[in-house]
Amino acid sequence: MHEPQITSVSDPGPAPISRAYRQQLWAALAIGVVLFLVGLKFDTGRVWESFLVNYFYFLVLALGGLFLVALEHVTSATWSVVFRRLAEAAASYLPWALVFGVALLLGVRRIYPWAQAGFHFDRANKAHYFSFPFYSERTMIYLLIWAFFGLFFIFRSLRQDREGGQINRRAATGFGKLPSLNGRMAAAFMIVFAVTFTLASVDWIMSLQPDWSSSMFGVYTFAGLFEAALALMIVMSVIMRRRGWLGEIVTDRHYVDLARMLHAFCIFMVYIGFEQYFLIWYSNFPEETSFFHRRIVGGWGWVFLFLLFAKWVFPFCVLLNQKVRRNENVILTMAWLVLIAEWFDVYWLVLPVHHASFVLPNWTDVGAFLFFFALFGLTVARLLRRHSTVPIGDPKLVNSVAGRYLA
Amino acid sequence: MPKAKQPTAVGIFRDPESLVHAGETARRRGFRDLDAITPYPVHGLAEALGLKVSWMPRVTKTCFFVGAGLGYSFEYWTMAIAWPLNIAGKPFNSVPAFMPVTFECGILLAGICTFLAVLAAGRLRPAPNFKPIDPRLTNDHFALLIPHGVEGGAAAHALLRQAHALEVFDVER
Repeated sequence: MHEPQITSVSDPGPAPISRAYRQQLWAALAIGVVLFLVGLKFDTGRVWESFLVNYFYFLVLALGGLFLVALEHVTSATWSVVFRRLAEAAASYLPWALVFGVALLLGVRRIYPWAQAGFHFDRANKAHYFSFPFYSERTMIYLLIWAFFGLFFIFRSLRQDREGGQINRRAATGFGKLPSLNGRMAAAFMIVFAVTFTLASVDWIMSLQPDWSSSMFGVYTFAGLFEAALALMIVMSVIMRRRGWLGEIVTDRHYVDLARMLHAFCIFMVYIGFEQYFLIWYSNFPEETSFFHRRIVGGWGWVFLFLLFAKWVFPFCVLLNQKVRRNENVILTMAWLVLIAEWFDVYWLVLPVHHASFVLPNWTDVGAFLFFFALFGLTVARLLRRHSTVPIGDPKLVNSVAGRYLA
Repeated sequence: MPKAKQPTAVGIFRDPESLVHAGETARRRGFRDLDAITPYPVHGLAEALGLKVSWMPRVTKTCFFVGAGLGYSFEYWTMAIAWPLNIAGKPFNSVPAFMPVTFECGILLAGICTFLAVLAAGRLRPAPNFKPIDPRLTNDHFALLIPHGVEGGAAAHALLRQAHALEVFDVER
């Protein structure tokens, strides 16, 4: 492995995503719309559940991208600069999430028990919180905030592509110096994100069972978000590198770093998941155990077990070995596994509310998945087709490529 | 058993890349048993110097399982055999309830044993008369150490100079 000192990087340019590929995505989008409309006619309740599952899943991927971007800015990290454009591409889906958040509001009466006539909460103040107008306002506020931060970081990053390091030159170095604007905005985002994502998880997922509550639920969905976001970065970068769209920028070393992070956060995931289960199991209050009772009996327990294995046991045991962790195919497989598991996690959170026994994903899920997948794919492709696949104007990029993470 | 001392060329570098680069060159030219002293872990250095994968993770792994096993056994013995208590109707052998302690015992033993194993493997002990090769190596400089036997000294020095070492000198090591 001979590596001369790297002092400059060549721009890999935009990703040449073919027209045929985009046409397939448009076709998937159209099929999704048709299946959704057919579903509205024949199976209204189920179609909105599928909508919620897939909407939330792709929102989580996009937010995960935004979170990784903000994490890089707030810590002035160097190692992840080579992946930042991919994370930004995922985050560029957030304005669409805003649009389809409005669509989700149309289905509120179909899926949330509290929105149906004659529902009584166990506590009176919950009824005020879960009134439809207030619920809609909150939904819009979260999505507006996320879209704002997403676009803010993306536009500044794209401007940096054109103007070089000038835009963010007041980098955070040493004590007493003010961090860059990106760093300050990212710090603000972290605080806002913690609150809004927790509340959004409560509103969209937890309120499916209005009498149940867990103070750990926001952390649980966040753990899934972060694990899935890292898996998405691995999948995107491996695929793009194999096609040569990342030039000489991303090397094996960068995958090892991502695989390490994935390994670390699959432990975080099981820690949070187990902790939530454990505390509810131990205290054994009927109003708390209802959540897991629904999600274990009637065949749902198999999904629960699958999540345990796919989100923790397999990635943990496989990525534990240093040599195995360096194998591109292995980490790609683990990343796909985690991404699939995250989908089933959302499925497992949403579906048992209205289905006492296990139901397989059916055509409404396929339709909603195709629709959001195509939308997500087209948005990501749009950014990557028009702009360089790496943040070429970032002064830290050279060090990131060369592995000078502490420079 | 400590190895016999042998003359070793030392090159002090300003940046980790030159160090890695010099290490690769030295290995291509046939020098073996290379070593490096760096203030922090350097990516790709172990590969460049041809260092074997450390056996330390195995110590950690083994001790984790021993610790976890002991922790679980002790809980099982106290809670299910020696003094069974009915706590809220839970089974005596309550696997989820035992998990945190099992986990912590595993971590505890793994941590302590790894610490001791590092001390032992590195022969780290109080050494009041210890003189570092260069105090800057604990801050922002990097050293490559090339054991060169009797006749390889000139070649090793030339190699280090070519790789832009700030200083090159010999130590007995």
